[in-house]
Amino acid sequence: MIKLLRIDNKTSRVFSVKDKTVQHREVPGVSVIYRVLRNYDKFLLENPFSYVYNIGIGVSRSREKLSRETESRLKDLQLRCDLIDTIWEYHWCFIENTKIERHNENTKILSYEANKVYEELCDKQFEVRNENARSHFNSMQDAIMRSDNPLEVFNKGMSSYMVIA
Amino acid sequence: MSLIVYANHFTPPLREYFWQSRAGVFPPVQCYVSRCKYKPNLFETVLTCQSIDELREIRHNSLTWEECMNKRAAEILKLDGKIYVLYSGGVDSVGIVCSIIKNFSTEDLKRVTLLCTPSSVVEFPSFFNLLVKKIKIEYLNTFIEGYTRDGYVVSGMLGDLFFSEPGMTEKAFELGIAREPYKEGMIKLLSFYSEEYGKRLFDWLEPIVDESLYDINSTLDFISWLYFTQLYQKVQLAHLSQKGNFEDLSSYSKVINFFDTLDFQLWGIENHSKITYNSMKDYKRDSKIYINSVFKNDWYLENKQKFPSYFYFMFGTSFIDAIDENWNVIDLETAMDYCRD
Repeated sequence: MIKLLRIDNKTSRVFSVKDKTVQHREVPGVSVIYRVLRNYDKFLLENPFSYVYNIGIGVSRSREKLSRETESRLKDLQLRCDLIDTIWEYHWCFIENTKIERHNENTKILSYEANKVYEELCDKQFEVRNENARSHFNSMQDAIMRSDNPLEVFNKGMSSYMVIA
Repeated sequence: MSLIVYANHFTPPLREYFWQSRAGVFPPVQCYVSRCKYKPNLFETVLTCQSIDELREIRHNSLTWEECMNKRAAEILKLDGKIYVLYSGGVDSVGIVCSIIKNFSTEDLKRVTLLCTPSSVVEFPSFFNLLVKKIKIEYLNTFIEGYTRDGYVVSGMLGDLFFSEPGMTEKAFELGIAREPYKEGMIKLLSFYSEEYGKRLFDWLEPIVDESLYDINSTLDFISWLYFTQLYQKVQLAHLSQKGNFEDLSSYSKVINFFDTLDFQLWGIENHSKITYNSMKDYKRDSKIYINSVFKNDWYLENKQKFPSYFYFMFGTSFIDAIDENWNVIDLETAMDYCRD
């Protein structure tokens, strides 16, 4: 699960530092996350760029200075970020699984020419499915950040994930 | 006003045996569009296909399966523009491609493109070895409407309809009731799907037998007739029912369901009693014999079983709720207005 969120206005990327597989990915919804962060507390504006904040375990001393309201908002933000991280983890697993499914007993009897076409179809399917899943999860991510009920958005979005998969 | 299709697998809780039971999931009773005078439908519907009475009137000695296939291929050949075949690798689409190979010249074949995914290759790989040498292959990377702009899309939908509903047929073999008298067999089968309401569901459906065009004795006979009379239209409009396939529903006129002809329907009616069913390996045997005449493969002929190719082939399994008789896509709430009393 994502525990460390870094916002960087130069690269507009979200880094999942503890995630070994998805270390560095572009997330179009980052501006939304940034806007939410910026509104939480003046504290968060002190050094918003290249700022690293440990959302998950809250070891930052500065966190002790937060008001109760801000603390509550941060918990809410933590939930949203965890949900977003989860959907991208699923996305990553989906991509990995799609790669693994490529060969089986049936494909062994393909001629060289047919196998070449088959590989092209696999590549294309991978590309298209990945793109569709990415688009689906981007929408989910945006909705999770905006909704009053992020868990409901998450549950609905993940249940329709099978459609994509 | 009526619907032409209800595609949502959610069963409205209007009749107790349509819900709180597995019958609401399968068989999809809520999606029935009856071609009979008797209507077990949940919704008011109008037909986009022939009624059973119309078929009864025009009934005549049908062509052989091979003649039906070749005649249809000749009709497809006359279409102006590109011909995109949805190739899943299943028996129906393999049969279509065989008919095209058999009836099209090398020059004609240049107009044909097979729309595939990797699963199209895997289901019948030795046949694919032949296809790559003869026909252009493309990945099905857009929704179907896109292909109708410069040609026609040929689909294998409805290929099951002249044989039997594969899921229920397989279950009937599993339960050992395939050859039982239909009254006993169907109650057992429907009770498998809905232990509590199986008998009542059968009573609700049984009057369709009074309008049958062939003798209905066994469970398999009943399943075939149920499928042919109640689900033909839903399957006929299946591509349209899939969410996102079409923005402009009029484009559907350029989707050619290969098996959607009177010839195939009459073949199914006339030959029903001759269709051999000892196990699922016999499923669509006539179709496999035709395939074997073009691409000899004895293993395929004797062993190929039904595989739900469509769902693996097509991208997505998300459906619209319903379409009204003016061909407007409507949502679930609006569709409820079309429920029968």
